[in-house]
Amino acid sequence: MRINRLIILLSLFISSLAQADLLVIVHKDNSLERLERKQVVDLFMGRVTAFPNGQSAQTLDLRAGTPLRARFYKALTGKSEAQVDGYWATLIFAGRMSPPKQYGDDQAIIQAVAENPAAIAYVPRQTLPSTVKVVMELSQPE
Amino acid sequence: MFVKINVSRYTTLLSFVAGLVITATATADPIDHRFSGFATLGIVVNDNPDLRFRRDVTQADGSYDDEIAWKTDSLIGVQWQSHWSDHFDTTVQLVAKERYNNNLNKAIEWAFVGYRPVDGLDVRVGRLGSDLFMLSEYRQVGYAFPWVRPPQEFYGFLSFYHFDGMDVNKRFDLQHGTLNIKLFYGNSDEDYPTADADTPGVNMDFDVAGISFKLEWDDWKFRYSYSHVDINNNVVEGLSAALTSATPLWPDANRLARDLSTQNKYIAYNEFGIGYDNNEWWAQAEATDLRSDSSLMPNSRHFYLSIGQRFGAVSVYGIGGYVSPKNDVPAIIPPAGYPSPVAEQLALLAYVTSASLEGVRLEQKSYGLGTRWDFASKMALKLQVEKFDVDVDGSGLWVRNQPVGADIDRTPTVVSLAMDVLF
Repeated sequence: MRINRLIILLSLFISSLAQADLLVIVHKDNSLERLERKQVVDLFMGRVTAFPNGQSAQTLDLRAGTPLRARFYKALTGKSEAQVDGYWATLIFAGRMSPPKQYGDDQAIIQAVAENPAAIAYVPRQTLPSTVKVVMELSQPE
Repeated sequence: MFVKINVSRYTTLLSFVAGLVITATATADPIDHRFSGFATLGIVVNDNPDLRFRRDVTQADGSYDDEIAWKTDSLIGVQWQSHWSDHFDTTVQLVAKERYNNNLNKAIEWAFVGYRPVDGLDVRVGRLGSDLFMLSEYRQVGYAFPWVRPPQEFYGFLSFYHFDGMDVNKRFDLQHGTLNIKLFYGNSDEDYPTADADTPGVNMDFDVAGISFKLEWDDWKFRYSYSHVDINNNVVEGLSAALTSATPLWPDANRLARDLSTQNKYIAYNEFGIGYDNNEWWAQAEATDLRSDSSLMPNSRHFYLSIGQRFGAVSVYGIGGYVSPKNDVPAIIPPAGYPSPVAEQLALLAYVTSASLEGVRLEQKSYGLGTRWDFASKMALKLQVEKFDVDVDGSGLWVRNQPVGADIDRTPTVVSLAMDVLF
């Protein structure tokens, strides 16, 4: 009984850990199989506008204030959402980059990636449709 | 005359942009429009009764004698970016704020067409932001920097925001970092009030060319830039003419007129910047050396250093800055031995010349403390307190209520509160 409860608690704990994991996804026809962390950082921090193979890339983002958005940038760059927004403001208002298109939730993002061969986005770990593919996995710090 | 020039430049620019937009629309890629903006609502209180605090030398007024000024830092900017194809985009940015001789042409901060033949190479033509210093491209976006405003000793004199011309940026990807090299060239003009309250301002027309190197390397940022400004007009024509006409009586006046004139003179900036940010601690410093062959331009060295620490949504920082001139206060001595009305006229001319040269000198230092609170998504509240120490011959960043050289208190305390938002 006690052991059962422990197992349930443990499995809940493990599944909550697993749910905290984030996946970086692209369109299924994208020729890339994997991306390095720096390449993903460069794309989401607006330093580059193309995938390493030269194909043009469009980052898709969640709306500001969405908890998953804060978690993603913290896990990827160590920066808070306010720092990331501040950094992007320097690029956008210098006229160097236009802001990534923002979506309300991960399902809308998966749909958008499935329709756009240039897209790259992040979603929580889940069973994904075959229209998209994972190019990087990210774990929460701590 | 003034307005006419501005309007014609504005129409040329817009029709040029429109032409390129039409060319770009011919391509098949999906067209996409983005609207975004930034705003600051700020108040400033300065306790000094004789020196009015201003953010930069394009402002004609500011807080003094414990009065609240809300126009110093408050502004709103809107931006329209259009993506016409993978290679073409356009950007228009309008900023509404208090300006000296404000008009619509000045409110257009950027209006350019960007062409990106390949990732990492950008060519832009139109009205562009200057890239003289670290914050130049976003110095009006309060949310993007930690302080209430860019440090005054440094950015207070860098007073032009944009130019009409072109720039080319090339990015180099390094193993741990990114290097950007940019070349820019263009023309601009700016209205400057004089630092003395109730004296009419001047308009300066200039060409600017420069190169900047920006390296981002892990937690570090380094930059160097060199910019060269060629001034096309003499902003002190009246004084130059008066001096020239006095030459038969005052042989040295001709040399003074030549030194003072800004026509066909230059200003050169050499700038270094360094930044560090490990997400908990950050530091930023910049130094620049300003050189000019016109005695009216304050040949000077500018520096600031700021260090801060983040505690979740709150950060605290310290900041210090200074500007010091490279030339001594000029001694302008009128010739002696002339009879009464002439002697007074020459004395007055010498006084005006000396006041003009002294009035543009910059010599001050400051230190301050501040805090920033990111209280909601894309909203920040900042409080900053600074103590300034301004030299008697170096108050060019302030608007003076008393004549240059008057014996006044020159240690203003400036308290600023600002809310910055992005939208």
